Amino acid sequence: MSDRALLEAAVEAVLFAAPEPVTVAGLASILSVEAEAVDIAIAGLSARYDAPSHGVSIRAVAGGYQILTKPEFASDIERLVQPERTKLSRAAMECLAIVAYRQPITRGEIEDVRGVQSGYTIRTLEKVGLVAAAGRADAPGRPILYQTTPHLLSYLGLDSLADLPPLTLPGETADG
Amino acid sequence: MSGWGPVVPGYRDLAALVSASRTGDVDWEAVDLSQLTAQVRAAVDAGEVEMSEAADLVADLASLVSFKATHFLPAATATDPDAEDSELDQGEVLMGLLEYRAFRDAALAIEDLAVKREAMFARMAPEVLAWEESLAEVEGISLEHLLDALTELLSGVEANETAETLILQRQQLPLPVAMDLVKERLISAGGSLLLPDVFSEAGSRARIVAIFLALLEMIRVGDVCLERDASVGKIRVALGRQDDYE
Repeated sequence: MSDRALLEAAVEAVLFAAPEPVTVAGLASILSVEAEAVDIAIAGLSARYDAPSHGVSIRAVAGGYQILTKPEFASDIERLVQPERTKLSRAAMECLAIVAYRQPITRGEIEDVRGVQSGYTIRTLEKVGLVAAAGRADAPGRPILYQTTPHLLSYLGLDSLADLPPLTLPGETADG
Repeated sequence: MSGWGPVVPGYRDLAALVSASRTGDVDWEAVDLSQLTAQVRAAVDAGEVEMSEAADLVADLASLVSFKATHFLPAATATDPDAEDSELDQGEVLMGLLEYRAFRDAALAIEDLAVKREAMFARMAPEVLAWEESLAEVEGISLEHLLDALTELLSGVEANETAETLILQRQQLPLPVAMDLVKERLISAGGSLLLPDVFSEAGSRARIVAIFLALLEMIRVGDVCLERDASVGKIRVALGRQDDYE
């Protein structure tokens, strides 16, 4: 077996065993190889897993890589496990979107956009770990600033906040 | 979603007209806004449009009225400050409405992402992962390290033992209050503190123990994480799950 095939196998084993996404740097450190070699191994593995004969794929999530099952098999897996899901209300989703695109942001600024009180909704988002306090604004009353947590990336299956859907505000063009 | 929209002569739909008006590429003489408004009103009256969609349509129509008015009406003169203020207020309301709608649309897109993510499973069940995450956050910092730190903190206030015993009952902190206290101190400090600094205002052994228990609970639920401060070699407490940022 070639060195490259062995490295792909090792990366596959680590990603399979890891409960969370593993960064390229983490894989390189664990396997004592260069990051570039890990990149190549992941590309090779991804190409193989993308074939219809595989039920899992390698996904870039929260700055790392993770082996996840393919969406088309969700109903089969749900017969095996009953995951607890974080179902958010429409109001919570609105708050989350405002924080995600405008962070760090105060409660007052969120309420300015939504036009309604949002304290309870923000606390809900804090409770489920998607939003967290990030200090205080340098403004009268020193209001708490909120930002999204890294858990948001796992929750949405994104590699980074730059992968959020584009937001087009009035007066802006779609490409920013 | 009914997907209903008014018939807009010369355009695919109302959104296309709004989009064209933003680029200034509209023959406003040929656009009959009253006719479009009448279509929307009739559809709402007939129950063909859901209220959430009706709100979108009204927002679009309001945008178009603003664009058309800007096109035809002379600019307010500086000698008429009231008119200028009024126009500004209306403009602000309209911009606020459009801004809200942009975020609401973004919320729907984010919800779609969450639904898609839910259809993909990691090797372990999420409820198991939740506990593993908490353990991962204290990686490199054992319970012994924490107990050593607690012992050191307690030894620092040992001299107050006698006086403290007398007022211990009054000073006992319920866990939720102690958790709020820790959170407030971390927020005030910009998000993180060296472990001893979390206890700097504790004042008594009873309060140190209460805050220590609160800290353990906050680590367990993921409100705070611990890390080793490389510069001073001490344990640092930080809000949130900082290790997930890597």
